Amino acid sequence: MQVNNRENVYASICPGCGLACGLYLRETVSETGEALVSVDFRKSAQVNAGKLCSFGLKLPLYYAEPQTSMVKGQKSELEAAISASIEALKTAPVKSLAFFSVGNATNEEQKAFSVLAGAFDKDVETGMGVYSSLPVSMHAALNRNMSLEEVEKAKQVFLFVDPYSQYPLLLRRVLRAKENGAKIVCIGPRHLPVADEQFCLKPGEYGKFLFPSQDSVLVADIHPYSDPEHIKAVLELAEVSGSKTLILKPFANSAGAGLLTANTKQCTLEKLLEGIDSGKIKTLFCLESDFLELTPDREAAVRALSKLDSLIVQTSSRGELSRLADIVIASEPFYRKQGTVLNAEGRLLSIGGDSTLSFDALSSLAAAFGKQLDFESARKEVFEDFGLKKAGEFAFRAPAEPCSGPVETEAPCSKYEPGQKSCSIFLSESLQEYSSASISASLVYSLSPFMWHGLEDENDFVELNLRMIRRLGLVKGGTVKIRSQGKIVDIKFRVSSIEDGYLLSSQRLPITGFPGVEVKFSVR
Amino acid sequence: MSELKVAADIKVGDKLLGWAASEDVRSRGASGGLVTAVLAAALETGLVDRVLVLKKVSEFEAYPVFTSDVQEVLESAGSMHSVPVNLARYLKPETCSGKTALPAKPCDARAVVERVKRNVMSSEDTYVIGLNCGGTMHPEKVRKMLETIYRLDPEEIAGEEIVKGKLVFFTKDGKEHAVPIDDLEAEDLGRRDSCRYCQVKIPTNADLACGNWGVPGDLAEKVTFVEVMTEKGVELLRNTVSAGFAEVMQPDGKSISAREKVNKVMLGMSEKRKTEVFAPIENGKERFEYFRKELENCIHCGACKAVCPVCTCGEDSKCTAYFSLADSHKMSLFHMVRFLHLSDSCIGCGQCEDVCPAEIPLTRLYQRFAVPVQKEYRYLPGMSDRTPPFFALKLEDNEDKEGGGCTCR
Amino acid sequence: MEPEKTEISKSWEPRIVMFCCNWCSYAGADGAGIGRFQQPASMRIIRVMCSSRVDPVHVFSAFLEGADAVLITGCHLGDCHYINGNEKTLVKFNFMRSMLKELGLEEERLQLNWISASEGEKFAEVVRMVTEQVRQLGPSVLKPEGVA
Repeated sequence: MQVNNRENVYASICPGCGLACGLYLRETVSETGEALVSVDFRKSAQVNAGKLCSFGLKLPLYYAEPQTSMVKGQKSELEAAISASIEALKTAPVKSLAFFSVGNATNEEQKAFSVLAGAFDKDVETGMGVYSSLPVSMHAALNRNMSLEEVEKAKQVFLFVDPYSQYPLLLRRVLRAKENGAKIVCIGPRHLPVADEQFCLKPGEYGKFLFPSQDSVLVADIHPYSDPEHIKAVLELAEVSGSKTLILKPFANSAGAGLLTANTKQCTLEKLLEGIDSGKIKTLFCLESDFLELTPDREAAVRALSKLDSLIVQTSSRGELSRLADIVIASEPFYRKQGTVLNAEGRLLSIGGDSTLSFDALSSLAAAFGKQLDFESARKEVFEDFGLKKAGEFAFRAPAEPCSGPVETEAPCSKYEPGQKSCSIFLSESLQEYSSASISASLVYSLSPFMWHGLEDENDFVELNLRMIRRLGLVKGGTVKIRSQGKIVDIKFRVSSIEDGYLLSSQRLPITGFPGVEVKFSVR
Repeated sequence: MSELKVAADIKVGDKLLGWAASEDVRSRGASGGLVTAVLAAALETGLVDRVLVLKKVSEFEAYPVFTSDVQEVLESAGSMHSVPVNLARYLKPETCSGKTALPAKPCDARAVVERVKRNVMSSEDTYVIGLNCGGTMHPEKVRKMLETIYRLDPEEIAGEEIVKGKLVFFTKDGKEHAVPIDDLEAEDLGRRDSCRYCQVKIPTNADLACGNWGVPGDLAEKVTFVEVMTEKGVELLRNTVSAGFAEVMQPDGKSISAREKVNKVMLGMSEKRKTEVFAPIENGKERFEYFRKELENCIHCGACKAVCPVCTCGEDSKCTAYFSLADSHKMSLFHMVRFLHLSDSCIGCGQCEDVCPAEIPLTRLYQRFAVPVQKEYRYLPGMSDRTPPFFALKLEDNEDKEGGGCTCR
Repeated sequence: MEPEKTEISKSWEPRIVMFCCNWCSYAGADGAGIGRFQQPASMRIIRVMCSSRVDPVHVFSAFLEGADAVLITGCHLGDCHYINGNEKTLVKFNFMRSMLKELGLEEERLQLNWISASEGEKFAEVVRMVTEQVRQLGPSVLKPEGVA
């Protein structure tokens, strides 16, 4: 028996996080045209030496369902979806339009999207309102290049992220640094095996307890829910001590999207949701960005999105958002795209595909509103923006600092709760006498690629330390009831080595949105 | 020089010198291009339907592909020491239809044998052309070597070869740059860790065992030494010779003993390394602490299992089905089951170590369990069709087993 | 090694997971009870149809959940209700034992014994002996934090 499967192998990158790890995607196309995707290790990749985390290995699930174009719930041709979008954009009042792309699209698509938004005198929203609450002088520091390899050479590494769950491919660099004699200082509620010193600190306390030097590297990340105070404190610490910073980002092209929208005023996801809810935004165009997965409050977002006149979604993945959408413009899976992403190190990487389907859809939309942009010129502009002649494993963005223009800044929002909160201990000895129902903890979400991309992992549990589990009288195999804002969730738990008074979750709990909050426990 | 051997005279046990008939193939492949000629002939004459080869992207990058295109086979030629892939893993029921031939390092060939035992594919339909192997290198380390020791731009590399204990890089300007592998390994560069203590250098478990060891000095780089191991090997080589793709001749006794000598030296070095690496940890608590410490950074991505060529369980396997991230055990059940499973079947190919994102020396850990067990049962996995000792029906089946392919003492 | 033994408090009692085959050893346990042979209360008996039903996963899980030792019992060789189940048990047992030993557990922590239905006295004796051996060894290194 002879099987006539066609095999396409793409030397691609992982869309999971801002590290953009190298990998092979093997696409087996059967005679009936169905494509089966499997992942293989690309050991020559510079970012990750071919190593992948759980998300990378689960990519076949991520690519499992290809998207189809839809207009008003009916399957349609791509062209029909594009013309329906043109119609929707034409009829909408210009003021009520919003364009949203967090960084899952290529630089070229991001460019085209900006051009489209520009036709309406709008900027593309990236959900990174946090940039706008930071002084402009700090923006350059957030986009400074630093390769992962440099982490290995540091004398001290200060980790403000959890490499085990959030950015696993950072871990080997930290381990090598440690092997080379570096001291590893970890800041956060989870006690990490790699840590030589462990702190759980408020941003205001960094300067008091942490003493980096010129040979130190501070590793933190910036994402839509970053506490501006925390980012500020990290950057100030770096400036005072002269240490280097590696700022990680949650989406494959977060860095690119950030730079291409530099000099624009960005609002937070909360503000964006508020705008939709209040009717200020009536037409929302999401490019490769699942607003529902990203939004602080999923239920509120579903309610708000239903108030829109039209929701246009251009995406390659099927999710609830595309079911809510009025128009779905189907794009090819990430690995088939031609184009580049800028990773968190500042490397301009090629995705490895040869399709410009998604870009062409955006450029024909832009053309309908009098803006012409072909792929070649978009690519050229991208290279110019990043000061490079070509993309590749060794192509680091030239250290020009494009974000020098005047940017309005906002007073930092004080609403940010536990993201990186103090270690207040709620369960002091004296609490024993109180009813255990009053025990509370800070819920901290461990934001991983699984959470950002709404992909299921086998982590349907929350984490508590042994002492809290004893205090709550929980038994193995049982569940814990957690209350917040009048809602209750009953969920499995795990004994972990974390700070007292903290509750960690690596999946979104239905009782609260991002960022985490103070929660109470209910005892049987 | 003795006369050319005719196809009909080739038989099991023959030790021959061979080379590709075509000038083009000779110049592409290493050592006279015999392996490439055998693969091409097998495809061209319809002896096999497809071959599994590496498709070259650069000197440091290639990926496995199944192909029926002779041109692709010719392009795949070369030793590719810096592409440490285990090809056997790609032989799956979904991909194994019809007859397949593949070039195989000893660890590929061993994995093929183990996969056949586990009913992934049939032995009759798989033609294994073995290649002598002194070790492979991880591309990340190759780059580091080029930058820090050779002081060469990786972009300038046109090829590499291991000659007499030296790793030689050829640059595009036609120059050779050689450094002894011992010097590289003193700097923790050079070959992959598992290659340094590998126990099989000549793939006597394959259908043909090919390589340049034993080739007389005046013919170096021009011919390949080939040993015919099985009836399928006879079939392959007869097919190649009668189709006019290659020529073979009888070597003199010197060649045969020279090949033995190289093998013995290589095995001796490996044995020494193995003794060093696996120095026993006498105290039980210290042993436990060693394993606990090595595994503490595990993020449970499952890459080690996904890449393992002797694990044929697929998605539903004991090590994953009964393991839960919610457990906070002293050691993960996943690893304990893998330790047991691999104690009789780990071939030490090093793939798990290559892909571990937490850089856990997994092959070493598995071999810690495998070394004593495989010695006890006089069983070297992948070297014969003997049932893995764990699957023996009774204790006596494991006793006094000869022909277990065991070269261990 | 010496000080470790004295550290174990006198009140500490080993917990041992014991697998008994339905046809021989489990009946042996009954026999031990009926015959009122004295034995410590350290065993947690799990009845299985045949000793060969005991999978390595069961043994490892027992240790990981806090067992100080695991004792597998079955019919005498040649008496297996399923012809040769216990022969297979023996093969697997040897594998598990060398694996656990290499991992750092003492050999006595995994034991295999053949106890027939009529050997109530032997049952009690084996329980006493294994318990005493494990008591000398102290708690297992695999015991999770917070488990007695």
